[in-house]
Amino acid sequence: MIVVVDYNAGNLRSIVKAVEIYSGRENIKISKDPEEVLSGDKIVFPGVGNFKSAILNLSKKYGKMSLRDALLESIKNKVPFLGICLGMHLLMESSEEGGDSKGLGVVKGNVVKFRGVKKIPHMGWNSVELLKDTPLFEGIGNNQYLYFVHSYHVNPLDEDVVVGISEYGYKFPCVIQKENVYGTQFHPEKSGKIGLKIIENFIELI
Amino acid sequence: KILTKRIIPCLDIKEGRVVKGTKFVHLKDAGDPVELSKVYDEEGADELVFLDITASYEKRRILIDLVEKTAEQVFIPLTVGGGVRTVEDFRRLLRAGADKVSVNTAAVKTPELIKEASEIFGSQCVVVAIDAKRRYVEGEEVDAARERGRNVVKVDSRYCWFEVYIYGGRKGTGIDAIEWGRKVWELGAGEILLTSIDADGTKKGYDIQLTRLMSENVGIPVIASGGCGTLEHIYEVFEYGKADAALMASILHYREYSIREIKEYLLNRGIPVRL
Repeated sequence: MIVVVDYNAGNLRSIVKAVEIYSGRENIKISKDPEEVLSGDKIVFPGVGNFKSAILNLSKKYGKMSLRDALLESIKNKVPFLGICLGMHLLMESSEEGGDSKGLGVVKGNVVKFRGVKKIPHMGWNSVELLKDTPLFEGIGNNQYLYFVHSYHVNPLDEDVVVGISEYGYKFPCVIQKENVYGTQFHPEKSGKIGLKIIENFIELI
Repeated sequence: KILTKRIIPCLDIKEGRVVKGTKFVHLKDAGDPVELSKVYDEEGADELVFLDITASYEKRRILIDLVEKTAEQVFIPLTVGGGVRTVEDFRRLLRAGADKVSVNTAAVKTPELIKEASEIFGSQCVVVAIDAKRRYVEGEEVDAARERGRNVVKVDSRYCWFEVYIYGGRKGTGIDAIEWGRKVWELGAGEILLTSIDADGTKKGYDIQLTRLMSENVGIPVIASGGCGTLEHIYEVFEYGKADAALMASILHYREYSIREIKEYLLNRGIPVRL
C-alpha cells in the first residue's frame, strides 16, 4: 500500500492521480492517521505551504502517536519515502521559514530562503543536473526540465546526499537521497511526462 | 541552464465549454477544455489558464467538475480564474485540482483577500490579474500625474500612465497599475497576470512598456497578456518587456502557430524555453 500523507499542506489531487496511474487505485491510501502511515510500504510526502504550520500539524498527537513519530519510524524501517517540495524541506533539521522552526531532522542541514535573486518564488520550468545516479531518475536523461515553485531551498550539510542541482541565481540542491529517503524540490506531479516517469520510478522501487 | 520563459495558453470557459472558436480539426470536440488541454500539454505548454466567464453563480459547479477532470489527466500547472470572490472560492478550486487561483475585481475591492488567501494556501497559488489601460497625459498633466504618485512613462512621443480596470475591463478605478502591482506583491500575491486592455484583441503585440514597468517594479513573476499576434511579439515581450511568461489565445486556438513552433523560434533568438 502506498500512503500519500495528508497533513493539510495544499492540494493532493494531482499527486494522488499521478501515483494512481502506476499503483492502481486500490493500492493507494490518502491518510493522516499515523497507524495507517506506519503500515504503508511506500510513503509519498507532498506539500506546499508553510514549514512552521506543517510541522505543527505533524506533531499533533493522533491517538498514541503523532504523524511525526510515524514518519520517523517508517523511515527507520527503510520504507521508501518521497518528500516533495515542502515535504522535502520537512526532512531537514530546521528552516528559516516561520522563525527557525525545527524539522524532522532526517537529513542534516537547514532550509533557507533564496538570497540575492530578483524574483521570489522561483517559479517555472528549470533543468536538473544530476551529480550521481539515482533510481528516481532511471531512464531519464540529464538536464531535463521540471516544474518548480518555491521560495526556500534545502542546504544539506553532507554533500553526499545531494543527487541533483538546479540554478536560480546560484546553484542549489533540488534532488536529495539518503538511503531509502528521497526528496525533490520540483513537483513531479506537475512536470508532465518526465515528472510522471519519476513517480513511476519511485513506485517501482523494491 | 536557467529558469525558462513560460508559454501559457489561455482558454476562455463558459459553462464548462471553451468559447471563442478553435481550429483543432483533429479534435473530436473542439469545445472540450480537457481535450484541448491535453493537446497543448502534448505540444509543450508550460502551464494552462482557464478563465471562467460563466455569468450565473448556480452554474459555477460545472467549473469545479471541469477542473477536477482536467487535473486527473493533465500533469502541468493549472491556473483558474474568473468570478473568484472569497477565500472559500479559492479553497473549492484548489481542492478540485487547480494549482493557482487568479483574482481580479475582488482583489481591488477587498485587498485583504490576497493577504488572507496567501496566508492560508501559500503565495504560490495566489495570482492577481491586473487589467490596465493607458491614460495619456500632456503638458502640465504630466507633472500633475507624477505628483499624484502615478508612474508616467514616455511611449513614442507621448506620455502615459496605466490605470487599473475592473469588471472585465468595463470600469476604471483611478488606481495606478504599477502601484497596485507593488501592493499585491506586498500583500502576498505570488504572481501577476497583467493584461493590456489597449492591446487585447488587436494582435498588434503586447504592451511592452506596461509589461516592463511592472516586471521591474515587483519581486514576483509577471505573465504578459493581450495583443499576441506574431512570433516576433512573443520575442519582444520577453526580451524588452522582461516578462516571465506570455499568455496567448487565438494565435494557438486558430493554429497559426503551434507551441512547438513558437518555442523553436524563441530558442533560435536566444530566449530560454523548455523544448
